[in-house]
Amino acid sequence: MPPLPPDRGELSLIRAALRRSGRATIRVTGTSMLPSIVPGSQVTIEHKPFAGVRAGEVVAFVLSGDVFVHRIAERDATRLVTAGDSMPLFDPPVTEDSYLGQVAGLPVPAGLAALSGPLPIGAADRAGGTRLTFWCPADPGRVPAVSALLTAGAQLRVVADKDVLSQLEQLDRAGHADASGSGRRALRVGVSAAGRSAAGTLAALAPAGIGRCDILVGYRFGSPCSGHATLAPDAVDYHVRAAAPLAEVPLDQALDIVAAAVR
Amino acid sequence: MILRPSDYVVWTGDGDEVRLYDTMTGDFQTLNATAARIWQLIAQGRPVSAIVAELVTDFAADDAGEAQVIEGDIREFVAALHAARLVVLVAQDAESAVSDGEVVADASASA
Repeated sequence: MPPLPPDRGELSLIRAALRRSGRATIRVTGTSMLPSIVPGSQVTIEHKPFAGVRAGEVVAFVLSGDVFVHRIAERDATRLVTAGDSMPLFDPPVTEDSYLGQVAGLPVPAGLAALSGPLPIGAADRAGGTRLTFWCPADPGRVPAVSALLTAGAQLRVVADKDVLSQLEQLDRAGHADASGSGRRALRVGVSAAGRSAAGTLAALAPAGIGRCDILVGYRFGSPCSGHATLAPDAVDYHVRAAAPLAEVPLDQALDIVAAAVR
Repeated sequence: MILRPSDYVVWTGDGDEVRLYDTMTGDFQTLNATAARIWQLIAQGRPVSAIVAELVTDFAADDAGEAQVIEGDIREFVAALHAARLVVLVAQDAESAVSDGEVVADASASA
């Protein structure tokens, strides 16, 4: 093949290979696609028009200068909603500019439900009932579904994003984490547009009776490269979204949807 | 012997450095200045014997022993490129039919 113009990095070499031959093999280094792709293995990116890829397929794209290989959860005409199979959050939307191609040879799951992780609540947690605390970065006003829960003993705390983690940890240290006395800290749930699972999965909380549960609504989660993240993904144990993937909804609406799910 | 970069290789370089991407294995490599020069001469279609002559002239014009070392290093490097399928054989000449017999055998196996 003829040489490329000088001073280009690996990404340009990959793009050039796709342009010239329609294929490019790369080595995968991360664990975000486990168990579908094992770190260190090779995958082949094949040229496929952006308009032609569909939910369930694995695609390669560029984010902050790095190449990612993740699965499409949903798509519209201009954006792909993607996530690693083992990741709790969706990636920032993938546009045609950042799209490289489809990863060949990986099966499409039978149903997109397979893309959602299980709710981490086990039978051992069934003691003492579930006591909910909703945490919000701003006053949501009156939210009917939340009001009903507050009457039943739930709490609502309005705490700025920069303070919420320290306050949660302070409560855990003070021994409020678990009324059953197990010493385990409270379960933390994050509700954001990037949440991998639907809010409906929180319905499992009520019968599970997990002790104390903190539900953070209206805070942003993600890696710093996503631009406006405030909390690291592992600040909570489980991520859900109140609406369609990456669809932002007002705080009161998100609270209403989540409260309805856990009632 | 005349070689050329494999169709599976995408590369970029500006003289002091060449970066190679093997699109079949996913491996990236960066060649240092001397290796980059050899690569670029290969890409220009220069016979290996001419590449050897040019580098010997530049680095060991008056030292026969050093010239021999340089030629050995170049041929070893070229053989390594060929073994890794980063270059393919275009034409064989009488001079290299003897000295590069092993490389030619590899080329036949991969054809």
